[in-house]
Amino acid sequence: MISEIQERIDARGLVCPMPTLRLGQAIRRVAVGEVVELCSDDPGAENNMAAWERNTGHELLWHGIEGGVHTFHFRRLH
Amino acid sequence: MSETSKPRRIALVASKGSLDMAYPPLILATTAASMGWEAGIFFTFYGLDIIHKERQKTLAVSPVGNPAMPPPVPGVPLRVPNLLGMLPGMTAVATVMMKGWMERANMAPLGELLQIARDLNVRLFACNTTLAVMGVKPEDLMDGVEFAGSPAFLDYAAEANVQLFI
Repeated sequence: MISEIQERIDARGLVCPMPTLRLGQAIRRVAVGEVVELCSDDPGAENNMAAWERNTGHELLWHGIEGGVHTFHFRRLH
Repeated sequence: MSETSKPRRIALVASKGSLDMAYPPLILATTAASMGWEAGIFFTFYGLDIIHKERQKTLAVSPVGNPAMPPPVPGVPLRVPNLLGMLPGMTAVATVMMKGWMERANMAPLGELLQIARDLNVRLFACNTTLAVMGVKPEDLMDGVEFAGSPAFLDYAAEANVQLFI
């Protein structure tokens, strides 16, 4: 887990595709090099975010699960 | 995705204008665009209603001929028989039910998904043959829509990694 997070998205209670869309909107708002945090309790979150990382080229810095809630930290790379 | 490679592309055909069939193309296109793909939807035949300024507000779902429609009363395993589903008002009831499920699941309403699609530069192609066949005027459609026929769409789809007819 890292501390310098520019934007946090609380997507708990949202189903696909909303967490992905909210993350996509947030990553466009921060500058290259900055970090967005996404919290999601979507059971597909882990697979979805792995696909998102592969497809967007942004960097997944950290992923944790607590009480069924996934937290992801993505750094905008381009 | 490497920085130098061409972005992936998805080309979708939205051919149906019922509420349940309006969601899949918009979900896939917005997700793809959110992942950095190029995304385009070709709205044809009844699918044109999805981008029709007025008709998009009244998209509906019918229980008739839909054996997957869940029972209207939770906990009572009685589905709506086709014969009853044909009664006046049943389509409205089914539509309200479906909008209720969407709301409970925090799914964005159709209008919001369309706005997100526009924000993400999803290309919305209106089939101009359908406009002629259905008597729809270009000004009846949402802003930001492009007009295209099958040659233009095929050309777009030929360069796509994923092509789906919905």
